[in-house]
Amino acid sequence: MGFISVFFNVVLVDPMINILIMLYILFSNNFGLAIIGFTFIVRGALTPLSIRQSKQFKAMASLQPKLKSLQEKYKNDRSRVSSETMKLYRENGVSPLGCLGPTFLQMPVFFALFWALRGTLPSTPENLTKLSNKLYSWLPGINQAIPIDDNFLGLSLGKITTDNPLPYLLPILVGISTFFMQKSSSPPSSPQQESTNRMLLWMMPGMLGYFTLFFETGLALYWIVSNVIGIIIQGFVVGWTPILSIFSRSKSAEQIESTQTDKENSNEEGNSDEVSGNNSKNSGRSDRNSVKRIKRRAQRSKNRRNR
Amino acid sequence: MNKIFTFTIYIFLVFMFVGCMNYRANVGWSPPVINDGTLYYPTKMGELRALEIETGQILWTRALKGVGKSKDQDTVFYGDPVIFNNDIIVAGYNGLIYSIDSYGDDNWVRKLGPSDSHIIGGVIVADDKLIVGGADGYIYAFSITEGILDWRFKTGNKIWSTPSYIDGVVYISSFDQHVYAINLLDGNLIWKFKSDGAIVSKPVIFGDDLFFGTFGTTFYSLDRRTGNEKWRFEDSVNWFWADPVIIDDVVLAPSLDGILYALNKDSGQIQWTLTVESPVVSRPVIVGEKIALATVDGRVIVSDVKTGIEVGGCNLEEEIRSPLVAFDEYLIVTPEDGSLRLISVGSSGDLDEIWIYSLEDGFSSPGDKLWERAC
Repeated sequence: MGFISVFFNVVLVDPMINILIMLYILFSNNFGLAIIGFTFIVRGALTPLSIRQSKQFKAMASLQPKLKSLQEKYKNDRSRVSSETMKLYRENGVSPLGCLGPTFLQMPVFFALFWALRGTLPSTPENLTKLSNKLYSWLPGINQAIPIDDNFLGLSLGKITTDNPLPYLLPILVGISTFFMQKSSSPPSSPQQESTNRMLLWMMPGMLGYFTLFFETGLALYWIVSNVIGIIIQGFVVGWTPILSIFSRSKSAEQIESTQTDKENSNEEGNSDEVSGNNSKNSGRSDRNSVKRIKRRAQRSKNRRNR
Repeated sequence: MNKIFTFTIYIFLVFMFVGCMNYRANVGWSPPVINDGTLYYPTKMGELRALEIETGQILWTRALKGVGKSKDQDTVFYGDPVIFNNDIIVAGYNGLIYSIDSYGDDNWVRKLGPSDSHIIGGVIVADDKLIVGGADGYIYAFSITEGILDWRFKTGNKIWSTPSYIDGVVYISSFDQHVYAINLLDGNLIWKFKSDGAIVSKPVIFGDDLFFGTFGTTFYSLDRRTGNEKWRFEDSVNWFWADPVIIDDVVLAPSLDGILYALNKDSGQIQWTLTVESPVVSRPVIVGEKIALATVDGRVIVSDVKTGIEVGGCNLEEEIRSPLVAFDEYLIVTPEDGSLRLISVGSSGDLDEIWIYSLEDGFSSPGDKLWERAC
């Protein structure tokens, strides 16, 4: 455990602390911009994987009709369904686990950043004494940059989120941005998985937003910026449809509803009209016929009243 | 499945984070102060304890709590307490200054400031005033008898250091990389000196000179009357944190690079160095002809003042950041486990533990079951 801890600190946390401080110096002693710059660096390094992930999602989406037919075909043989699914993935060069690459790589980064922020912005004298041994003294001006000024847009980035003014703003933004990130990167799923996905789509942003309340504000800033960058990458690679569908959800729902109602009506009309049959072309004709019939009935009743 | 897996990882990490939330707890590192055979110790449990120094027996314990809304909250202590007319004055991390009489009763309690005003440095007595710096960047002067604010002076950043005083002038260093000379009477600035880094080390006065080290890894000597630089020493590769100690014509400057530098007081030339291979946060002390210092990794080291040759030492195996305290041929060490250890320094530099006072287990001396001698 000690070795892991040392390895984790030497390989991830300490370099991160030094990068953050150098960015802080580069951005004229602005730690908020340093975190944003750092997020761009991390995201930039992960971009090839993010693009690959997005392409995998896209490929999986294109296989959905085939997957559905497989499920239909072997609905009584689960093991056959999974083996055929894997075969289909293999034939089309899709790796379901490949989608997790950036997530996997982001996790240690996020975890290390948590410690790096605490190390860079020590709130107690004990922790400040520890910072001195994490700095690379050969970096120009690094010792002179201490202590770090953590003020950014009225927020104190080294403080716990709830200790800042507007304590719930950042957790809400973390939740919203995670929701959009989730939505934009949701892989297509079977109807059975759909309910689980829907639950996670709401639960993850909620929980991350909640936990942000107990973290340093700088970490929330990182998460929000990282999500925004992720959403943009997804948008350019996969397209903006998943995001736009959120905004047009109610509208499209109405459209679907009205379309379904029309279909039902037309089917009813089609059934009553034995000549027109059940296809949609004929149903359009039956609509016109029924209108004529209604007009004729109305004209007849008018004539009767006039007599 | 992928999403459930990812979600599980998120939750796992989040719980790891939450589990690690206690990492930043303050411990404090106030040293004890000795007056008339009694040792007064601001503990890591937010108390002031009085012990009989010869036996280590407890005389009284006084809990030092907050005021107003935080009246039930404990605090910790970093700065040196001072004795004035047998009263003990100590500043807490919670921004309160406590004046307690020798029986453990309150004289007065004062809050430093309205905002984020932790106190890290120690308090000093200057004529009829009590001087202390705050993490809100102000240096405060209170009347010592009633604790009423006389004046305050704003610096550009937090103050974590202890002030110095001589001849009507208060000297204070700040995180804003400056050392200030302030008139005691009215709190007006006399001069200020810009260094190359933040300063937590106390500006130590010796004759007409002022000595301090910085986070910029430079050690300075100034003319205390004018604020002009006399010399600087730049060979350290890490910060200077502990207060320097001056003996004869040698300035002893411990650094976080794990080296004790002995510099000529007038020129800044290296006389000798002692490599201890662990950062030194604790202020060293002179015991007879020896210098004793403690390292963060828990070692107490005794070396010859003239040559720097290590002549004795022991390992307490507990981190030490608290300044050492010396009286006669004894050394008092307060490691981060909260214990008090009385150690005698022999004429050849050998160390011998006399008693240990543990906050949890109380007093132990040779022959006790709890006694685990480190030295």
